[in-house]
Amino acid sequence: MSSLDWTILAGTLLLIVSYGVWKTRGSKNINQYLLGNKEAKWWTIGLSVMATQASAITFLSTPGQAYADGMGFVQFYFGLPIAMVILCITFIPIYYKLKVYTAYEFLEGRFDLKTRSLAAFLFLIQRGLGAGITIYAPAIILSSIMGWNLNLTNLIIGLLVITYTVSGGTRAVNVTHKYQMMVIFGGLFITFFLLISYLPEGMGFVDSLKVAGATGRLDTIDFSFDWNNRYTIWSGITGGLFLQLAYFGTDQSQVQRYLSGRSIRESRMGLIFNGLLKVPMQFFILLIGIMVFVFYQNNSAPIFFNEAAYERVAESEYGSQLAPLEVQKDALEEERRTLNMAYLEAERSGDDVAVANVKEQILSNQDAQQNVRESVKTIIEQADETIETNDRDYVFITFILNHLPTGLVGLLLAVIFSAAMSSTAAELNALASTTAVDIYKRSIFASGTDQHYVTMSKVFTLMWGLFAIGFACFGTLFENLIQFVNIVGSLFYGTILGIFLVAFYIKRIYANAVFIGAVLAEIMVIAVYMNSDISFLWLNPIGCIGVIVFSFLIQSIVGGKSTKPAGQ
Amino acid sequence: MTELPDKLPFGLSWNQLYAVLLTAHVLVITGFLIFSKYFT
Repeated sequence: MSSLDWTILAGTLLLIVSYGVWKTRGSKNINQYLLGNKEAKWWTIGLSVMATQASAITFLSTPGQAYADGMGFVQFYFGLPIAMVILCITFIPIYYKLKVYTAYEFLEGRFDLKTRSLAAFLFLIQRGLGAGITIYAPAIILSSIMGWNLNLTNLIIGLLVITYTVSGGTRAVNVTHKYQMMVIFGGLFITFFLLISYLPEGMGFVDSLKVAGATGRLDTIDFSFDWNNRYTIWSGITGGLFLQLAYFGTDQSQVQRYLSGRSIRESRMGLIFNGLLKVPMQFFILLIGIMVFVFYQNNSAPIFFNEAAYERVAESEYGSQLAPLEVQKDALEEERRTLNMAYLEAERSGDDVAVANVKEQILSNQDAQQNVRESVKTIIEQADETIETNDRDYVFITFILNHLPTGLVGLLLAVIFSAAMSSTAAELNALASTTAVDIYKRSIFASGTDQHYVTMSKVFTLMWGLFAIGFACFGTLFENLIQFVNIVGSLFYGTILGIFLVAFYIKRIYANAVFIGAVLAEIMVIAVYMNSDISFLWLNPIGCIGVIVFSFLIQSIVGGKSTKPAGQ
Repeated sequence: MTELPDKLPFGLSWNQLYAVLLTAHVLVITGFLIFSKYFT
């Protein structure tokens, strides 16, 4: 990496961190520290909500997913706009009315302390692990491909976040989110237009989409009803709705973003903003992945995208087995380039038979390339089984490093770091709030001064930051990082959402029933996950409906009113 | 906390704004469908 890239990367990150610290110096009371003094406007909330959800994993993994599987992943977000409407109507007014600091505070008023503590505890486990993964995911990829020290990369991302999150709390998270989103959008737009400019002569943007479409990568909507298929329109709308409802309605890292709004109006508008922009934004990121795919149809692609790992194997005794596969891949790529131009030619001439014929050849060429790559992965596995052979998370970063001009590489790395920092900051902020308000202040030390709780919130932010860095240093790479984060979320989200939906909508169910129902539902979700191949998105409705059904049955059988119903 | 008076874009009510969001979402999904059919 050139010195200009280093300067842009370091300069961007330090500017954002310093601005966050300077702008929010001297938070004096708990309202200021945890709710940002409730002065955020709707666009700040909207951008902050989006920046929280869009982690570095989003930018590393999503284009790779489009590269390998196509655009289908966008269906994952189809439930989101519906979830935003439900939140605006139900959740936000209740949180505002009760003037809560955390979502879980509401559960004590509606049920009891143990239900509040259970929900807070489930959140702390899930989000605590999540924060570690949010740091680890980009660090493992960057360190592997750039030759950086993994633990040092974890430490740098973690410490940068801790610096402004500890000092400025929620407001620092919100103000930095705005600038991080600017860097992210700026970097992505420039990359997109560069990718278009890299298209060969005779191939325009629409042509490039046709080339990608010939391989089925632009099949965005899948109407099949297959429980094991991760992304269909049905799993996206129903499972996705439950997941997004749980994430935005009950996950403190998001609830804290919109609770910092200056009024209900600002909070609602922020979520509607998110509902309008999120799906197009994901589509755009996937489209970048598609354009990277087209780029590698016209230029030579690495046979294995984790090039550093590949080099190590190539230099070992297994190197001789890789050489003929390289030759085979080059020949197939050459053939593919000819086929692409023949396909466009056939399209332009309107000859349907020729189009179908070339398309068939493209697909068989694709299968042949896939077979070569699978053979390479088998050899890599034999040579060193610690190397993760799923290389799709390395596709986008490889493209950035090998094909973007000097200066832009630094900017795109700043995009990835900014995304990692923006999600981690919101997570640490929320973990600290929940620990301070739902555990420490409620159950350990209730008679402290305002200043005491600000200090303790800072201490908890620091502790969770160090925990996240520690966890990141002991992580291992999973099949696909973004999916792993979503799977961890889906194991707990359904149950937490179920507790909240019972609280909001079923007034005749009381504390003991919902508590036991939630514990049973969580056991059921874990059992289903461990004993079936069902798509993780379905775990959200299973957990949620499980809580509702179990608590309803327990309430009907046992009866009793252990605490007051909703609204009292 | 009392809710501040709502001044929504184009004088819409909240329900109308939700309807706009959901309609836009349906249009976006329809757009994806057309996009898929056209390029595949």
